[in-house]
Amino acid sequence: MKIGVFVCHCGTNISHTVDVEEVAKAAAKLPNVHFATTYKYMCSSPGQALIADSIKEKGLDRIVVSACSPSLHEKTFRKCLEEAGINPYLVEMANIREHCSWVHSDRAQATKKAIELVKLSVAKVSRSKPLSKSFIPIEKRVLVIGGGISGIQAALDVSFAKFPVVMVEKEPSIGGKMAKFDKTFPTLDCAACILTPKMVGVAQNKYVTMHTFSEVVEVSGHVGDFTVKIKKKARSVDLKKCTGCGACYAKCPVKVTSEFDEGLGKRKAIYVPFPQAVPNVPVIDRNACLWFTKKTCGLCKKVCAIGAIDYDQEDEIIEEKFGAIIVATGFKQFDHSVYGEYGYGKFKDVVTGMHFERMANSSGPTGGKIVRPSDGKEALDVVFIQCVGSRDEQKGVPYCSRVCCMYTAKHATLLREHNKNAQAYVFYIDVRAAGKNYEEFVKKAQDEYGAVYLRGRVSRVFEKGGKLIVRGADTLSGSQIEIKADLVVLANGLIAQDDATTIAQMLHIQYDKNRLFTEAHPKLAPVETITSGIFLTGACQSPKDIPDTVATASAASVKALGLMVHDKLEKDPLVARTNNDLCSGCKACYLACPYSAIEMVEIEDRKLKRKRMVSRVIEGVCAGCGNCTAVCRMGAIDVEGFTNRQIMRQIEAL
Amino acid sequence: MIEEIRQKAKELLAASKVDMVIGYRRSGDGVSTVPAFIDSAQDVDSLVWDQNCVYNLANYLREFPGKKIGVVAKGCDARAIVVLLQENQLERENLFIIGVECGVTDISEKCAACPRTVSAICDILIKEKGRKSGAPGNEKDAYAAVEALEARRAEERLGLWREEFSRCIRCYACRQVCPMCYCPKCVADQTMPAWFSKATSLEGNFAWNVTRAFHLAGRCVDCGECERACPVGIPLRDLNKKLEKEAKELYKYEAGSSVEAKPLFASYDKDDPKDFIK
Repeated sequence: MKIGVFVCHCGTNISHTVDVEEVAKAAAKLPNVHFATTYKYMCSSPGQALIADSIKEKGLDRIVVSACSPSLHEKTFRKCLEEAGINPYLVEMANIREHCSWVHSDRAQATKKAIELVKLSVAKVSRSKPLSKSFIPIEKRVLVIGGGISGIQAALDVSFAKFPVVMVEKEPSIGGKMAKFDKTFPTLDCAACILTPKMVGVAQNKYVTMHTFSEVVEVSGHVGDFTVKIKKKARSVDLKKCTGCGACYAKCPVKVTSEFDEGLGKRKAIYVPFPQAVPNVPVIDRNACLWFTKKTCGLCKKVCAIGAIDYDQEDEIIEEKFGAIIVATGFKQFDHSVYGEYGYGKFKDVVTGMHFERMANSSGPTGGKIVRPSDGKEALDVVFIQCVGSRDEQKGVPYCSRVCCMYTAKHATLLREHNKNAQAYVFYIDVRAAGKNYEEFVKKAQDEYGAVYLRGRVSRVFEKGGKLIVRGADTLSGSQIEIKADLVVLANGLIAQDDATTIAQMLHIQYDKNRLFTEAHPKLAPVETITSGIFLTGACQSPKDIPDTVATASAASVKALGLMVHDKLEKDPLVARTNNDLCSGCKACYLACPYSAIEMVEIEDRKLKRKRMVSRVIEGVCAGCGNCTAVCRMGAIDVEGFTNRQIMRQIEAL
Repeated sequence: MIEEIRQKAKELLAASKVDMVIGYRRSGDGVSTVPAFIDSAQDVDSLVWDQNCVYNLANYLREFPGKKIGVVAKGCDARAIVVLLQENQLERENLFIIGVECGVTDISEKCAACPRTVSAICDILIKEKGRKSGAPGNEKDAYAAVEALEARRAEERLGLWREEFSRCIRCYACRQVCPMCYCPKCVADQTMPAWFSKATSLEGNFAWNVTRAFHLAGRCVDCGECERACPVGIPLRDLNKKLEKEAKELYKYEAGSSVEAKPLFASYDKDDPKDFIK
C-alpha cells in the first residue's frame, strides 16, 4: 500500500493558520504513507496534475487530499484519481479548512489538529476498498397522481417530450378545484376558459392515459422501477361506448345535492359533475341511484341507445410500471366549523369562498347571481372575513394560506361587477399580495370597486331582522363596528387532503406537522422528495396559487423528464450492504430506513441447513444515510465508504 | 398448578398440536430445576413448577425453527417472547404459550418488585389457586437501586462500575442466558473490525458490559437471568434497569408489552423528545 498525502494551502485560507509544510512532514511519517507534499491550490489544474503525476511516477495507490470539505471537492479528486488510472473511491479528504484553519487562530494548535485530521484520513483510506458504480434501468413512463391544474400541467409537459404519462384522478372528471372557480386573479380570466383547453389537451393527447374515478392503492419499487396498483372504481357507464349525449341524466329521476356546486345546487344520481367535464362520461352515484338502492327504475339503461350503462361493472385493479411519479394531489378547504362565532351552519347566509365562486359562475347554481342562500335575494352588503383557519395556531393551521387575500380581493371585485349597488367589506389581519400585479389588483378592488378594508378580527356574527350583524374591531380607527350584511363570505385557508398521510406513507415520502408533503430541500430541492424518483407539485406541498402551481408542475416534469431521457441511472456505490452471515433478520434496519431501501429476503443458510430471513439493500433506493448501520447491533449492515472497519481504524489512530 | 400444566402439555402432545413442550424438570440435586424438553405425552409428569423455576425458557425457542413448540412462560418469559416476535425471531403460529401466573412463588429477589406477573401474551393462562389475579408486586421499589445510583456523583459511579467490571472474567454467561442475545456473531467475537479488546482488561470489560447494556436498551424484559448467571456477581440488572427507566421516561416505551409496537431504536416519531440532543 502506497498512500500519497497532498496538503493544500488554499491560497492562504489554510496556510495562514496551519503550517502546511509541517503537516506534510508529519504525514510522511505515518504508516503506509509513501509520499507527502503541499501545493497552493490542490483543486486547480496544476494541483490535480501534481496528484496524477505522483500516482504514475511514485506508484501511489491511495490518496489523501488534505484541503477543504469533501462536499466541495471530493468529486473533483475522485475524477482526478480515475483519470490517473486508480479507483476513484480510494481518495479521502481531510478537511483542514472548515474544520480547522477557519475556526482556529492559534497556529501551533491548529497545525497539531490538522495533523490529527490527516492521521484519521490516512487511517480511513488504508481500509478503503475499490468500489464501482452501479446502474439502474429506467422505465420510461411517468405517473401523475391528481388531475387538477397541477397534474394536468405536469402531464402535458411530460407528454410534450413524448414520454407516456398515466394520470390518476379520484373524481369522475379531471379539472380539480380550478374547474370550480369563476374567475382567476389578478387578470380575471374565466377559469374554465383557460383550464378546459388544457383538460381537452390531456384527453386528446396520445401520450396521456387518463384514469378518472380511480385511486392509487399501492406503490412499491424504487426510482426507475415503481410498480403501482391503480383501483378503477366502478363508474357503471362504459367509458368506451358512451358518447356523452346526456340522455341518461336528463331522464334520471333522482336529485341529490351537487358536490361540485358545494351543496348549493342539485345533480342527478347519474351525472357529469360539470358541463365541461373530461371525460364527458357520466358516473352513477350508487348510494343515490334507485337501481342500486331499491332495484327499481333502470331508466338510464332504457334511454341509452348505445347500451353504455353497465350496472354490473365492478371495481378493477390494474398494475403498471413507472420510472417516476409526480404527486399532484392538491388541497382541501379548511373546515371552519370550529369557528362558532362566525355562525356557519347556523346561518344559511354565511358561506365560504368556494360557495362564492360557484354563485359568481354563470353556469353555477344561481346562474351567476350573488344571492343569499336563505331566501335567494340578491346580496348587496357582503362581508368577507379573512384568515379563516390560516395563521391561527389555536383553531386552525399556523401558516398563511397565501391565496385568500387575493381571492377575497377578486370576490370583492366580482361582487361589484355583478351588481353595481353591492358593497364589499373585508375584515383582514394583513393583506398579503406578494406576486406579480397582485398589490395592484388589491388596490384596484379598493379604489375602483369600492371594497372597504377593515383591519381587525370579527368577534361575532348574529342574525337580527333578517340581516346578519357582523361585529368586529377596526384596529386602525380603534373602534368597535357592526355591519349589517346580507351575506358573509369566509376566506377559508388551504389544508392537506384528508388522505394525505396515507398517500405519503404509500409513497414513502415525508410530511410535516400540517400533513403537507415535505420537499427534499426547502430552497434547493423544492419539487423533489427524499424518495428519489418522486416529485411534488402544487398545493399538496404547501398552499399555492395557480401560477405557482403551474410553475411547480413544470419543474416537477423537468425533474421526471431528466430521468426519462436516461436509459439507466448511474448510482454512487456508497450504499449500505448486508453481511448475511451476521444478519439475524431482526428487521431493525428495515424499520429504520427512511427510504424504504431495505427488503427482507429468504436465504438458504448452508451452515444451519435451513432457510432464514435476512435484510437486503435495494441499491437503487439507498441514499447511504447510515441509519441502518446505526441500529444494527451485530454490525451486519455496513455503508460502503464508511464501513465499520474504516471508522474503527480511525478511532484507533487517534 | 402443576397438574394443570402437565394436563395441558399432555393434551398438546397427545393431539400433536405441538412437537415439543418446553418446561421445567427437577435436576439431579433434587432441589433445583433444569429446562425440560418433552416430546412425548408420557413424559409430562416430569414437569415441575415451583420457586426454583428460574430460567427464561424463551431463550430456547429459537433452537427449533419450523417446529411447533409449547412453552411454559412466566411473566418475564412471555415478555421476552413478545420481543423475539417483534424482532422477527419466532413465528407466532409455531408457538403455544402456556402462561403461568407467578409472583407468589417468589422466584428471586427481582420478583418482589415485578409489576407484571401475568403473561403479556399467551394461549392459555394457568393461575395460582386462591390468589387474586394479577396482584402486582411493589412497582415503587422497581427502580430503587437505580435511583440510589443516580443520586451519586458521576465520578463516584464511574469508580463503582470500574470496580464491578474489573471482576468480569469475560465468560459471557450473561450473554448465553439472555434471550435477547441471539446475534449470529456477537460483536464481542468479531474481528473485522475488533470492536473492543477480548482480553480481561478493565478497558475491554468496560466496553463489553456497556455495549451489552446498550444493545439491550428498549429490549431487556428484566428477567434477571444475566445477573443470576454472573459468576462474579456484577449487578447487571442495575444497568439494564437504568436503560429501561430511560426508555420509559423518554419514550413511554416498555419492552415486551406489544408485538405490534415498533422496536424502540428502529423507529422514529416526530414527537420524540429532542431536548437531550445538545
